[in-house]
Amino acid sequence: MDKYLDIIFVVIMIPTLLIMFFYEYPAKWHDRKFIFGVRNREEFREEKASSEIGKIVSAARKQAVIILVCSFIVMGLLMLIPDTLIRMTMWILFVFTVLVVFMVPFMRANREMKSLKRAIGIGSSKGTVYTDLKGAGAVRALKVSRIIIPVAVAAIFFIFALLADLGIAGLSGIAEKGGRYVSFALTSMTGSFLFIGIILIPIAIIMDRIRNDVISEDSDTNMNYNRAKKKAFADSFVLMEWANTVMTAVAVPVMFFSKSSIAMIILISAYMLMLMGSLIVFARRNLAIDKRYRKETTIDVDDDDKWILGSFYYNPDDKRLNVAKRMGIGGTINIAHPAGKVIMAATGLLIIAAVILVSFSMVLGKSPASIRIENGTLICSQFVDSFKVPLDQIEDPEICEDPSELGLVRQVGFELPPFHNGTYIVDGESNCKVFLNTDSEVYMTFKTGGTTYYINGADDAETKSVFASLSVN
Amino acid sequence: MVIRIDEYSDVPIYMQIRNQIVMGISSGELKAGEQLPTVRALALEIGINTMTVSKTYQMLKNEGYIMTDRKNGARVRQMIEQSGVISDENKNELRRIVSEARLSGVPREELVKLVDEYYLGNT
Repeated sequence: MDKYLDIIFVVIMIPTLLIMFFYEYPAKWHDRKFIFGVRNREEFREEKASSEIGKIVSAARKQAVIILVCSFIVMGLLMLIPDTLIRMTMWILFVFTVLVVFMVPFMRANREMKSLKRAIGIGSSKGTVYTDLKGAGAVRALKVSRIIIPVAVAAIFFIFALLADLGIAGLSGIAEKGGRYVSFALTSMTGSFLFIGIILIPIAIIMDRIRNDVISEDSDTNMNYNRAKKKAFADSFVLMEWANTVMTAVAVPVMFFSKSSIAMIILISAYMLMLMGSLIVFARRNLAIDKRYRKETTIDVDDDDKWILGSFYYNPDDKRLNVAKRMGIGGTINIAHPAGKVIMAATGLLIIAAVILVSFSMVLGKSPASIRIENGTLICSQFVDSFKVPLDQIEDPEICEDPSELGLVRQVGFELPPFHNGTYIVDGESNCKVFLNTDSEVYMTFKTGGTTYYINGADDAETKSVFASLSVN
Repeated sequence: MVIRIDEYSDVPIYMQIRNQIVMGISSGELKAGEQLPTVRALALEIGINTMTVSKTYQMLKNEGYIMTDRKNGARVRQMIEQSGVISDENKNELRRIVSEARLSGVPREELVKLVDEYYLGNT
């Protein structure tokens, strides 16, 4: 099972890096609207400037290729790490790192492009804003119904799974086949996909209402250009919504009729490939639009200096929050906007928290789990104390064999098979407290109030010893 | 019609928008009865406060260049009232421009040619 997670990471990372490479490090820069986040201008076509840009592009591409090859090698090496926990942690840290490192040549090239601009005497047209009265607020490509229909379909699957999970709706004999596990997992999965779908709706609407670019004195050219760009955006969002819904629709029968994890992995990989494929199609369409309208561009607004390293937009004179990205595909925020500052800080904190959480999970997973009795309390501990149960509250302690036979479905907690720690559904009974290594031979079970506990220690001897102490007490 | 806003100009933004819309109507880029964007849409597009655009539209309405109603928004007037006189404010502005041109050594013919061009709407 754990090897399939490697495959999912590879399926996601290879197309992502290739898209980033071909989109951000183009060999033919002449047709691009932006070169490393700097607006492509007529002055750049002159021989001297053109030759300098050729050198910058070539150097950045060379560095990007090296990073690309190194990241493929690292991915291969990661797959060889035998320990699952270390491998998964390394994969996650690798994803964060490679996405940052891959941008370094782009940022360096951005600085060189800005230096070149200064060297050939192109000044910044600071504080100049062009607006086309004809297009203002009138260019929309997204019909909201097109994006809501797939989400509504996904919502039907979610409601179906939720009702089955709550036992309100019968599944005409199908539920018995999958049992409680299928029902719970299905609700979580359909709910997650529905959540993604709902989140995409406001993003799609915001992107559709993003400010129109003014590229020409001719209003029709501006309208057509912006409509084409927004249509490409809208289509990609609709496609993503349908990909989500199809994934949900296919996953429901797969989970009901097959318990095979391989089937789910194939399904998730196909889903990821579909998303990546649509991203490639979108990127190509975007480039084609820029190329098509390059010849009709007569207005070049120079706000390159507002783009820090070509990647982060900081413009206190601009009251807009969202702007189209220069690097890559999609939109970004104006960091100078008060809400932009909050979003940026929250994103930064989220990334730091994710890295800390992943590292903490690894430490937790590598810490030995043990149980002991101390001051009249049974303590289950792994790096930190997970459960503390006063001995006088323990009822009906029992020692059992073969914990691998227990049907465990996690509700809340930390799980790294064979170790399970948290609140679980155990053989259909919910809210049980579990502190269990399922590879051990023995475990003990007892009740406190209405809660059932399933625990064992670092080894069978420890479990038996604690159980003996419990029995005496 | 494309309008250009210079955020570092001494001329306030509402006046820059007003001036360019008036020039657009005069040159025929904005036709009689043509719909103008809503206050909110134009403010979002330029990245300024809606009050600024609202002030511009109010000024254009008072001057008789546009008409506004709740149903149709703002439109260029079909018939713009022609007083046939230049306001004192504009006379002073024209005097300043002519004076600067004379001091800069611009020949009278050149200035008249330019006035003709603008008046006939060739630019």
